[in-house]
Amino acid sequence: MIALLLRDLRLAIRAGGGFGLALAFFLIVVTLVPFGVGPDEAVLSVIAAGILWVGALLACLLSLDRIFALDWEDGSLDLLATAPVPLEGVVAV
Amino acid sequence: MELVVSDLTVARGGVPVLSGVSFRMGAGEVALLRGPNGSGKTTLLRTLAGLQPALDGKVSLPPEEIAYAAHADGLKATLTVAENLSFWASVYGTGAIDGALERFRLSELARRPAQNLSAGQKRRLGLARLLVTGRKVWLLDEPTVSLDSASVGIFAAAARAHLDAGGLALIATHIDLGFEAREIDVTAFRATARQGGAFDEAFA
Repeated sequence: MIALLLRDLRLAIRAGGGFGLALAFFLIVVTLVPFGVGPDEAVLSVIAAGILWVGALLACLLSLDRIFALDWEDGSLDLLATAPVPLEGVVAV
Repeated sequence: MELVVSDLTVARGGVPVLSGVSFRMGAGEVALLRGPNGSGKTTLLRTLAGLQPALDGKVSLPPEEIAYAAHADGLKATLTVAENLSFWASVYGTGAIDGALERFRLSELARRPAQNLSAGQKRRLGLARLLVTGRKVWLLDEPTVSLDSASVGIFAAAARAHLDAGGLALIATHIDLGFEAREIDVTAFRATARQGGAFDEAFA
C-alpha cells in the first residue's frame, strides 16, 4: 500500500503535466475571479471561500480521467489486481 | 504445489469460449498452451489468474498463489528500471531486486528510465517482475513477444530455474522455447455454440 502511494507520488512529480497543471489552474481561477467581479471588498470577502472550493474542485476534475486510465492502459492495473494488495486500497490510493 | 483445473468454463464478453477445460500440473512442470489467435488462451489465463470469473468448474489454487504476466508489462515510463522493479518487490513484500536484474541482464540498465528501453528490454523487465513476486505458479501470456533469440534463451533459463525450484509454469506461446514441455491444445476445449440463440431467431 505504502509502496503504491510512493509510486504514485513519484509519478506525479516526475510525469509533469498532471499535477502542475492542476495547481496552476487553481491559482489562475483564484486570481482571475477578483478581476472579473471587481474591486468591491464586501462582495469579494463573501465569495472568497466559495471561489477557493470551486477552484479546487475544478482542478481535481482535470486529473479525474487519469486516476485509473493510465494504469489500465499500460497493464499495471491487471497486475495490481493479481498482487497481494486489496483492490479497495488501490482505489483509495 | 499442484494446479488442478477441472471442468472449467471460461467466457469472453459473456460468450463461453472454452468449456470442460481439465488438466493437472505438479511442481516442476511446465505446459505450453497452444491454439490459434482468438481461441481463448488469454481468456483461460486471465480466468486462472482471477481477473475474471469462471462460468463453471474449479481451480485448485487461489489466485493469491499465482503470478500472471500479460501482453502489457505494466511499466511506468518515467520511473527507472530499478524503481519499476522495486515497486513490485515491495508490493509483494520480497525486497531484493538484484537477483532478478542480474538474471534478465538488466543490471547495466538499472538507472535508465523505462521509456528509453527497447521493446525487448521492456519485455525483459516485465518478465523480471515474475522473479520478485516470489510466487510458485507462473501464468505467462506470450512471454517471448519482441524478444530476440538470445533473450528467449535468458527467459528459458529463468523459467528452467523457476521449475527446478519447485515452481510451475503455464505458458501461452507460438514459438519453440527450447525445452521439453507438455502441450495443451485449447481448441480441444472449444465451447459449442449456444443452443437456440434468441438473437438469430429474431432474424430467421
